[in-house]
Amino acid sequence: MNDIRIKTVDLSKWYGKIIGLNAFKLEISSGITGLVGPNGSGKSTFFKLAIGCLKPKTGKILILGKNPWMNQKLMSDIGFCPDYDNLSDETTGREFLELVGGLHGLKKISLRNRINEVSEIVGMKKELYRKIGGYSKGMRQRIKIAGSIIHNPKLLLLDEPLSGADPNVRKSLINLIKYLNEDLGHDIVVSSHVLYEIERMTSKIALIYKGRAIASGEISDIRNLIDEHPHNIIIVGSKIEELAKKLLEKKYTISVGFIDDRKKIKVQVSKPDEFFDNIAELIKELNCKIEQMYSLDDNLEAVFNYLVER
Amino acid sequence: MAIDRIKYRSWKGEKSSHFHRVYTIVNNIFLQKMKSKGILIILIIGLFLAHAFPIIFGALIPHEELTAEMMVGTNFISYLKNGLLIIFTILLVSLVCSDLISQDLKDKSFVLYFSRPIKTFDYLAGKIGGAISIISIFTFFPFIIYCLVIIGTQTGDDYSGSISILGKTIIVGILTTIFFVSYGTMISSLTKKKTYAGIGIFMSFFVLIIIGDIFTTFDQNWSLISPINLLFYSYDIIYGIELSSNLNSNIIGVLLFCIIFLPLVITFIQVYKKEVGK
Repeated sequence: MNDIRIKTVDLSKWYGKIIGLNAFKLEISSGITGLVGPNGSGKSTFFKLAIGCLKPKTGKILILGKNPWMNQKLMSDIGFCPDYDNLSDETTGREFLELVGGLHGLKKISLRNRINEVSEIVGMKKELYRKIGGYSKGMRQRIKIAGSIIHNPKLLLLDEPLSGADPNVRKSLINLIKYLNEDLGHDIVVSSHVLYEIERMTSKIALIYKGRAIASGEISDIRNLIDEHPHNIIIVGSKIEELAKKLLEKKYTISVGFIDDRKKIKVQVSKPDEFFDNIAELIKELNCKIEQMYSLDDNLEAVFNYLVER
Repeated sequence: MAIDRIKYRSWKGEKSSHFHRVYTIVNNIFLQKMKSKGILIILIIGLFLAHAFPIIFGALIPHEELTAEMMVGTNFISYLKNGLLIIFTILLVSLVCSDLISQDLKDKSFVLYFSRPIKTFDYLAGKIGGAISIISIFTFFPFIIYCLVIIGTQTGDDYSGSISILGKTIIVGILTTIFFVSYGTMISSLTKKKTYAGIGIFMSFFVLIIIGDIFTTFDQNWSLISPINLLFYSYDIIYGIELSSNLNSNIIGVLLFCIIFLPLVITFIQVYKKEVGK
């Protein structure tokens, strides 16, 4: 039981009449754990409770065996990367890291060395002196992750780190997250509303739905359920007609439809893992410019409904 | 990514680093604000008009010693009760304090601080310290420079009297800086929009001056409703200048305490209740 990193017992949090978490019961051990649930399911509330920025209404949450509420010392062992972008456009990446490093008590040479280390880890060393306002979505995520690991925390909490990123950035961020765990030894809890993204990082997941942890365990069991349902993916960008044609030739594609004046395509696939494996190569091959790619929650919702009704 | 495993180990919460964490916030705000063209322009013009001229004239006009009248008197060489000084101070406070808390409320960047080993008090101390570091360039250091220039060019021998005024001016500088920063920070914590906060700070001073002036015809104590009048009366008290018999010095003391400490309490509650302790 020593490797339990997060433990919640009947944890509940509600905002007025809106339920954030409801009798949430979960144990998260070392390694990478994926927290999967549709938007509004309570993932961000869970993270805010974990970093002590929210107080539970009932129940308890233990992070590394300690209660995080008003426990600022514990924050030295936790690194948090929020889902929203709170970076100032006018500051450079280096200034941002100097601020967060300083907030952890790092100074002078140790801070400078650590900034060099983390910027190398996240692949941002060359971009450090640029203003954050000029960063791409992927760069912003990377610098946020650098800020969350600057104090070398035992536990890393990443709230939707892949949201809004294009397929290539997603792939490199997934590699980075795996590297942080496998090579640097950080225990990581990463949230997403797309199961297939989590699957590329870990086999351990917890499903969260309407404020409850409804299942946890090996991803393969969940996948079997998901594969019974078609998976819908939206792709936004230019030159996507070619991509649509190519996708139709693939065996895993059930249908492709244009929406919003041919600026978007909705792809329905039977084998999402194969789709996600191939899509980056296809985009490169066709030289398409993809602005966004995201999965719709439909099929995951169906699995959640199935699990809840069971 | 062929790099060696990191040798660095996390910070373990030594007390000696506590002040450094607050200093980090102060330093960050100072550097950010000094990059702002608007703040730099107001600072440069304000320093030139409201400080450089009085300092040059003060040095050139023959004087025996530094007196309270030179600081807060009603004659033409009065330094601290200069309208330009007040207008530029209010403008500067509006610019510096407008986004101090409001931007964090808007961006939800409280999490940036509170997911670190930072308490609400540290956060506010850092924010207020950062604002003080800028405002003091206008409302503290020039006062000291003025006194030193006047003392350096005085023709009389009574240096002890001049140094006593210098000591009182240090208190006045600290009071003025904290007075404006405390008020500005509170306004910034009441809204998510920095424009509202900036205009709110600027306008509230003038509205209160107008209200104070209207009601002063009935009772002079009504003039205390204006923060600027309150500040000027407190200067008089510090420099030992007799107040009008119609004014109640106890009310001045209580109001001064309220206008400095109540905004700090309100700001703390706003941050704590709205974003941290939800």
